[in-house]
Amino acid sequence: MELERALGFLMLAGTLVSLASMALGISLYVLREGEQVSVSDQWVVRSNSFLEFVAGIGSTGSAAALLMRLGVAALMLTPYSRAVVSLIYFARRRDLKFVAITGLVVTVLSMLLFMPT
Amino acid sequence: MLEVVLVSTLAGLLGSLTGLGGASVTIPFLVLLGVPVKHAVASGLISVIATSSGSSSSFLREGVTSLKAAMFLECFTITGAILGALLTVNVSSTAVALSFSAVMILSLLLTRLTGSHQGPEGVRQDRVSAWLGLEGSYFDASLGREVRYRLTNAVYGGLAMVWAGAVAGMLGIGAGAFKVAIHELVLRMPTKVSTSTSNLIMGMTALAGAGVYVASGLMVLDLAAPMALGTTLGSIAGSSLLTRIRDVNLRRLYFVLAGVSAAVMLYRALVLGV
Repeated sequence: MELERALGFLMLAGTLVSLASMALGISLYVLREGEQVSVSDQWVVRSNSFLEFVAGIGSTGSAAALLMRLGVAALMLTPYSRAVVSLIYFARRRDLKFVAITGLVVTVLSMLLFMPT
Repeated sequence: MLEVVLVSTLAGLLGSLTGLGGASVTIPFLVLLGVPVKHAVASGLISVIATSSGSSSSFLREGVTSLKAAMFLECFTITGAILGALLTVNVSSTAVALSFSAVMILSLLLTRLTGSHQGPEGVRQDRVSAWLGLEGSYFDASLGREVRYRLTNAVYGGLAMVWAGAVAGMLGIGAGAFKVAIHELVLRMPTKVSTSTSNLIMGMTALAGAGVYVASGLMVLDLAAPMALGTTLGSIAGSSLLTRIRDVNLRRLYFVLAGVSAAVMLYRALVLGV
């Protein structure tokens, strides 16, 4: 239960941070761009990886896009963080079977998210 | 934009309650409104992460989720999700829409096979499941007692979850019906544990698929953000209601939602064109 509670709070925190960021971004968007959703170049994510997407947050033109990017990034990092925390927990308990299983999940996700395609 | 938030909120509530996932309801709605199928699918995965994170946070703290089973099965689902997302990037939008409809119909059929049982009794664990320690207990408020369970067939369940992951990655949905069916029919998981564990696995699976879409230019921020916001709000409300609602009512709700989603995507692909 110790791990479950910790992960529950981690996921709640990640969700709330992303929720707040996206809500602010959406409010700014509606105020400045109007109601219409736009599938234009400004709003389509064009990155070689998630890492490049995160690195590009600071250079985003509008505040609405910046906040939405932050929200999406925080949301995507939430399950990833859950896997990393689980890996640390299993390693501290010397549960080698689940260190291997969780380590495999973290490795595959890390390669996918942080290595350019 | 606000319409997307409101619809996603309702979809997130229903998706969390049934284990279907809000994206299965939101994607057909957006496609019907003219959003390109692949953009809706890619953005749908962000809302799946939101749904999963929102509802899993309370499930985890209540001790209903089987964390070890989730970690084991995620090895298989993330592999499937990456393959499924790569498939969507490379096939036509019509093929994606038709696949979506077919998967919704298949999920209806699958769900008819799965659990009315609250906790499978007398399950004999196979060696791998016992070696992994795939067992646990939770307090079921509707039964008013502690339910103990043991899982079995871990390897077969894992292999089947590759397919469930591929469906999720390809169509931008949680694929909860398939995960729940595999949990209950193969692993012999109790319904509530199955629903909450499926919710948790959905997030990690969706993350793998979303990683592919972020790198393929299909993710749209001003679509993904309102979908994610709405489904998160809805899923938090849904998870607080789950343990108070009887399983049979959740199942009826599921049938209606999956049927409507299948019909809408079929109509969009065959009548309106994508």
